[in-house]
Amino acid sequence: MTAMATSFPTIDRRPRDGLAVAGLSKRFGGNEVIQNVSLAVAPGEVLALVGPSGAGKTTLCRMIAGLESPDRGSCHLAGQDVGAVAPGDRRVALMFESYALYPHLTVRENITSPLQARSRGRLAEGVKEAVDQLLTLLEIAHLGDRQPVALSGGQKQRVALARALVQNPSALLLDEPISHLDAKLRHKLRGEIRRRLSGKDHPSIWSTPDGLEGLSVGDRVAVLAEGRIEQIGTPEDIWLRPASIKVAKLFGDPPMNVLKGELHSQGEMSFFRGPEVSIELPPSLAARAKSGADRGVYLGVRPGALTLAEVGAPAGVPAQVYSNEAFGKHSIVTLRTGAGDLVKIKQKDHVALTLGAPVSFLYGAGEFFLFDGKTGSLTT
Amino acid sequence: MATVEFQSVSKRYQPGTPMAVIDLNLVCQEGEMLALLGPSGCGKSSTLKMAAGLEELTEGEILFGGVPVSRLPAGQRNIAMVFEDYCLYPNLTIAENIDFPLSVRGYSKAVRKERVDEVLAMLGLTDMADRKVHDLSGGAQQRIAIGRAVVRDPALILFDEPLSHLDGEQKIHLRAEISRLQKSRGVTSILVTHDQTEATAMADRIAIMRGGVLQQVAPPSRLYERPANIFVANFIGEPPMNLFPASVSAVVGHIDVPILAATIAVGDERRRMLEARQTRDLVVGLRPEHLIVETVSADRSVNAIIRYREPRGDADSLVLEILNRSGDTLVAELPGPTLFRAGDGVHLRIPAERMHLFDADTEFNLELDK
Repeated sequence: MTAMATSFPTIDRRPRDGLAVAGLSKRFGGNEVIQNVSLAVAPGEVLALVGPSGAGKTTLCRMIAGLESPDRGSCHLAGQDVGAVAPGDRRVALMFESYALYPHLTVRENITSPLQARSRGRLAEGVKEAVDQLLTLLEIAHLGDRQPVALSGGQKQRVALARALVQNPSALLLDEPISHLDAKLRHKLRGEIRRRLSGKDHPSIWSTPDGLEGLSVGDRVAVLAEGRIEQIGTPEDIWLRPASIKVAKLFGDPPMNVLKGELHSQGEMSFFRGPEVSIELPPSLAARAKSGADRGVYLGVRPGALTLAEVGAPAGVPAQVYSNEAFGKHSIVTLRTGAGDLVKIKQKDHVALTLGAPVSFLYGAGEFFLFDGKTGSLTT
Repeated sequence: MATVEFQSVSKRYQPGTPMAVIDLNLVCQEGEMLALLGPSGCGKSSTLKMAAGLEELTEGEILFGGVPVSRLPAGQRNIAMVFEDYCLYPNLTIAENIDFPLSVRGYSKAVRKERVDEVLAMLGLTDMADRKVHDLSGGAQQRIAIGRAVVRDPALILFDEPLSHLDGEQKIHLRAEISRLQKSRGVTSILVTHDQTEATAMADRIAIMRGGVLQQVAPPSRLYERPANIFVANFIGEPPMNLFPASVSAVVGHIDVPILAATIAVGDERRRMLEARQTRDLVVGLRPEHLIVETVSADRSVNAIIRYREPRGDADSLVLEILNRSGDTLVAELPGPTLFRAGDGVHLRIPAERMHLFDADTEFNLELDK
């Protein structure tokens, strides 16, 4: 690496401009896994990168770290184009989803290994204290002298996380950093790590398939689907104005119900007509119905906006109980409609229901989202 | 179908190392889905491996339908397993994968066809029966793996983190699907997971383990509403339950809560219970969704500032710093998105009837029998 380092421009100053990628594309064989991705992350900012597996999150992170080269597009770190900079000299800290721990090193040695590599074996003052602090934060202080083989999956993930957090990088990329931890630890680390990163002078990307985790940890959230950015916005933007069905389906436990149907208007009133349902739309969405053009749409309703009702309730949509899950503070009932659609209802209290029993449900005056019938984009 | 009974089961991997499972007594009822849940290293996977016959017991016995099986090799226990990485044969079709356990056991062609068709119909895969599995989504592959597990009606299905490799909607969909299939087939099942949401969604009862020791086994709602001890209280629920010290007050029928600088009335029933037990030092538990957060000061409310806000879609979780000398924090969960911002001042109230009371010394719930 030393011979290489002299032949490439290196980054040794503190980052001021954060991270910016523009028009990044990457093809593997016939698959374009990243398509024209542009985004910027400011120093001290955490960008949550949310997408299902296979969306291209890992490839994007690897290109920023310099481990894959893009077919097109640029990547700037601290104001400098790093297209020609070797991975080791970009000083990007990347936490691998697969952990990539050294099996022959102890937990502590694994964590300090990137610092050792940079300082040729001598560790700066304060490193030991920093490592101790991280081990305690991550609740693995008792494992410092063990080797990875003696660790569970969740423990390995925390070692990889500590190894990323101990560095002072030009950018920090965390690829699914807490996916294998239990809920209590995830809750603690979401808050603690996010606070820590907000005080840093480097940009951070936190990638996750879990939409709610993305909302919690990101100053902004970028949604990646099939290699394309679907939306970038604040957590509120993403929740209140999901740009497309793909975005809406990634956020919420359970995610939004989406039904296919058509818009109709009768005098002053406007309706959504789907298989065996007719729903009066609020005035905010009525203008769209009246315009008459392009009547095929998708209607989105969050599970919390639906209510369960007795068979034959006025305005109730008939359905059968498909499953019923109780979660302490709420329960999720899945219904199968006559048309075969599965509809999920989230309600505060748990009621005993027999699987297969006939019931009905009400749309009420809940919030509706209208998506274009062809593109799936939110219509406004 | 059978019950599964762990009788004083212990496991130690190597002499001189700590026990992985300590004196486990647990029964999984016939047709029940029992989840083993706990933090890493709690002994849940060791327990599953012993039931499967993949690890030997150090002490104790495991009985299937009353018959000891600890000396039987895995292949003779009539168990099916569903793993986190599906383990399908990529070059076989969906139908051939499901048929595999029947064909290797020499079932007749007619029986095989009937059973495979039934499972395909149940999974809604009839139209896709002849497709190869390698290009299917993870969720679809795991459904096939489950089909392969149920097709020969095993005495027991062991699910080892079946949803770990799936994301978002697939996970939410499949957990409902597994629970429906398991219920409709009535097959006794044990599920190991690190994810309490999965356990809650799928299991009839959950056994919580910690350091090899069983802490509590109960239906999910019972664990949530009446956790047996502080560990379970703090482990179940997201965000976790708030826990803070308290002591029986000099004011009759009250407890003193130092971090809130408050004295809270507990009511007659609890006063009698505390007197009868002669408890002095307590730990109070309060679920985040039960903490009342207000913008205007009310009688007996406590001042706090919002340290940070975590948007969670239809809920916001707020980390609140109490304005006292020690800077203790509490977590509240409100229907969201709220307009609160970090740094906002708020007022907190504790609804006394929502408090859980634990003995500070034993860490047991003082009202477990309620």
